[in-house]
Amino acid sequence: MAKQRLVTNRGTGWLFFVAGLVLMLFVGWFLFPKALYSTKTQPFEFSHATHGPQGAAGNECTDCHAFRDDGSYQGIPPLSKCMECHEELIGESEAEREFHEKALEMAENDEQVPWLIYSRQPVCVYFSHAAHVKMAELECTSCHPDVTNQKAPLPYFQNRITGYSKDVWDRMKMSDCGDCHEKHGANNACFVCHK
Amino acid sequence: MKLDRRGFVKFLVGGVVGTMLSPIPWKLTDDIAIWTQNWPWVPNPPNGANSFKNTISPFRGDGIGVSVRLIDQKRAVTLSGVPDNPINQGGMSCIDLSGVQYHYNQAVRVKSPMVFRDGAFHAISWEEATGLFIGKLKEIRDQGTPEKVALVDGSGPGTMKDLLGRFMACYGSPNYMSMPNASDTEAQILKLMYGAGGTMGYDLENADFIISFGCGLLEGWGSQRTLLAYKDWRQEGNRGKTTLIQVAANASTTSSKADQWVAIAPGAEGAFALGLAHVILKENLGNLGALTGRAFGLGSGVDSQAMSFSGFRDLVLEEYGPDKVTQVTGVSPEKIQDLARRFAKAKSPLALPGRGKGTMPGGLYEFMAVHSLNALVGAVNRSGGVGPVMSPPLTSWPEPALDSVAEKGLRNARIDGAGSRYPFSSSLLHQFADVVAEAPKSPVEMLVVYKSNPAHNAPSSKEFNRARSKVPFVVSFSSFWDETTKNANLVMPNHSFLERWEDGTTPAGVPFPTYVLGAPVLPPLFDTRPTADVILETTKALGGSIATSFPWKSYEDLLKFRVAGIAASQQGVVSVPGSLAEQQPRGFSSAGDLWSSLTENGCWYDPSQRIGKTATGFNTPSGKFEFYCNGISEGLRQAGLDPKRLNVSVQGEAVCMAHFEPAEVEGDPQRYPLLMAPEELAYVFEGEVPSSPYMTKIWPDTLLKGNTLVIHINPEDAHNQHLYEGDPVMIESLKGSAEVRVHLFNGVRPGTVSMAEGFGHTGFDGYIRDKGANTRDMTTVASDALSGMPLWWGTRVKLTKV
Ligand code: SF4
Repeated sequence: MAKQRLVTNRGTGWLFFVAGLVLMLFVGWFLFPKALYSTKTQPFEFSHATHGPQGAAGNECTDCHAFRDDGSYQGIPPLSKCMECHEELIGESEAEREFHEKALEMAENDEQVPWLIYSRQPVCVYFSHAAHVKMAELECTSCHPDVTNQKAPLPYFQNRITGYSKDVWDRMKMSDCGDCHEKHGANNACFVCHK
Repeated sequence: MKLDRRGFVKFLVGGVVGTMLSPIPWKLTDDIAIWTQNWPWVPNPPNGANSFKNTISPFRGDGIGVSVRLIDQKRAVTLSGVPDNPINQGGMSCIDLSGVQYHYNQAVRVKSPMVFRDGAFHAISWEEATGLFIGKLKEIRDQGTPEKVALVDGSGPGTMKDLLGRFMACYGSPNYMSMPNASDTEAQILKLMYGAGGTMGYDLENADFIISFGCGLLEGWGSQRTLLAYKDWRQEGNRGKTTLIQVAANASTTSSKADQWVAIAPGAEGAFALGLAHVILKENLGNLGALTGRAFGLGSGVDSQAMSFSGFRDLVLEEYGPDKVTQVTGVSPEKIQDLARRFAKAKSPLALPGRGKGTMPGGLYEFMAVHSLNALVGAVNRSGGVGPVMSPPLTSWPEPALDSVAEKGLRNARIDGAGSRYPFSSSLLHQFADVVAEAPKSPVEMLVVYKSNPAHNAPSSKEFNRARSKVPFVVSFSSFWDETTKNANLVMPNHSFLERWEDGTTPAGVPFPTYVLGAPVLPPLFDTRPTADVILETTKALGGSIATSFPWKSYEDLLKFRVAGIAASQQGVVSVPGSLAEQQPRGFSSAGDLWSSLTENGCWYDPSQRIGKTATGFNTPSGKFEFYCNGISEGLRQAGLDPKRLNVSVQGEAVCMAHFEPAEVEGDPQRYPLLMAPEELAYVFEGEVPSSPYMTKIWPDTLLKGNTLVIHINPEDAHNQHLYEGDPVMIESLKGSAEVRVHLFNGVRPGTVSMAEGFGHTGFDGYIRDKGANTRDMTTVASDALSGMPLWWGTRVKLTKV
């Protein structure tokens, strides 16, 4: 009996193997990445195109993404920076009215806009913008995408396990830092970034 | 084609291979690793703009200026030393460095007033708390027994200390006590030998040959300046500029970093100093000529009580020959002679008395011996020497008004015997504990504790706790759940040091007058109140002469009143950014100018009053430096004490002069063959708070192994007792016992055991609680022969293997 069955499946048995393989490849490459990230949207519709050098507001990038007086980097500007212009209603768009109203309310309560930060690094990483932008004279776009003409914020894909944005691991992973440090002969010891 | 068992296995294998060829395992492994970096319970300090505010760190009570880094002006992150504060010049100790942890640690802060009722603490309102406190004070006063209130104060020299002392006096209780400290003994020396008030200053920076009689210069003795001076001695290019000789029983950090370590028998420091004095006098070394007309009692004379004496020279020449001193100290006569000659020949020799960090008072005669030695080599009131430092010219307190209840209360002798049985001391906490613990009914109805934790670090904490448990009502003003607070009846938590006003006058050893002031940096985190303001509010509520003695609306008001005195004196300078580096301190134009400069930069000082810069006389009965202290004979007579019946080992004139008092250590040497010496370490802190969580990270295995304290013993003793490295043992004294482990160390003198202080906490939180054992639970405290000050540098113990 046993011999009989062996004979029956000889030749077609590998199909089961392939079915398992293909199924899991599909799950792993297609479903898993989708399931791993949740999609979030920014609290307000912010257009770099409008705010930036080529837009209506005509700001320089560094007007908002500034270094503080003591040399530390501010990153996303605080609400007070937005309020310099948006304390008054600018234009008639619905998005602007919504932001203006909410911003006034947040300022009143001493709150900040809960922007989702694509490039947020873990707290165990010590990163100095001054060292990279001022001293090493890197372009912002060496690490961050160029957003000059971006009309609306990109969706924010949040990793369900780590809580970080998907984009931070695009070119801001430890290996990326290490590669670049190595290429430029910068110190690559652990304590340079992990204090 | 049928899915049979074999087919199914193939399907699974395919699935596994597919999974391995997909990102699932790799991405998941990576993400899980990253997830661990991002646990929501891991503290994540907010990002924001930095700003800095100067204040003072009060933990060690040495007035060090700190700059607080704030994020968005509301979150304190780190403290760093203010470079322009002349006391610390940018330096700081581990406890100051990590002090912010004591501000934010929710687990250790008392968050609101608390009352202990029905077996548990209950949060109450401030109105209820102050009502209880004031009600109790009124009740005791109405009974005409204000002396039944006692207070233990752990604050360093400054306005708060004066305020609490004044409050107790106006209330009518003589029982104000401070936590014991070496500066108490220094104060007695100042009065008796120098005829001065203020503080004792040591000009370490300009000395070139220093003999330290056990002072832990690198462990935290004196102020932060000590470490800076040491740094300077050892600076490149300064080799040989200053010689440091450490005379101590054990190889402490200071011993190991000194030019020479003289290992002497524990407790023999005074004899050693007199041995050196003997060589100097015999060989006519030193600077004896400089003393002509400026010293009293070196040769024969008549004292203020018309008693004639033959003097210090004869006493020392007769009693302290090298052979005899060798017997007591264990140091060879040649070594003593050689050291005395080198010391006397140096340009600026200086001898320092004291032990460890200076938290332990010394024997009065031992300190006298060291100061006599200083006088013999001309180090008194000389640059690079020693001398009294005047107090900063703060506005003096107006005469307190005392009503009849206060006057009657103050006529009672202090419970601790200071001022009566011990006429030269002002406070003796261990005697207080003994008396209260032994009394059938507590002579104290209310015990108030401020900025100290005597239940853990009173000289004999066991005795203190016995006494405390007898007192019906204990009030703690602590900001923290320390051991004393956990056993209090009422807790009225103080603001943290970043939330309150704090000031401080010249810290121990600093050679010129200083005054530091710290303004609040942050709004209060919890429902706390500054103790100073609670006291002022209490005086108002008590009314009458008490209220009139405290006319200030708030503590800030009082501080302004005090600081106005400095402004009016027009003496001294204030530190401003760059003032020390450029040696250009700034003067001040008005009281307002001085106040704003102090609140911004924190420090006033007067370099013109540095030791050796001003001609200082001696305000003793003889008008001279007194080798023979008239004050002692006068004090004894006034107190009606017969010198013969004192606990002093000598008779006659020697009672008034430096001499060696043999150590009296309790316990049978047969039963307790070893001597335990408590050791104060630079990286372990013990004061109002214990070591901070950050500090626990730098402790080696030879200090704390797991949660067990490691004691150090000499390999010889270990061999005799068949003990090996790491063995668990029971250490036991007359007072208590603890399980510890042993570490074999040649730097410990045979016959002694070195045990670190600052452990064995049962209060605070898991970072420090239940780690190691508390030496103070084990120490037998001796009372100094003349001053009655507590001495606990040695306790007889035995070790048993467990
Ligand atoms: S010591 Fe610091 S830098 Fe060196 S390997 Fe360890 S973590 Fe990295």
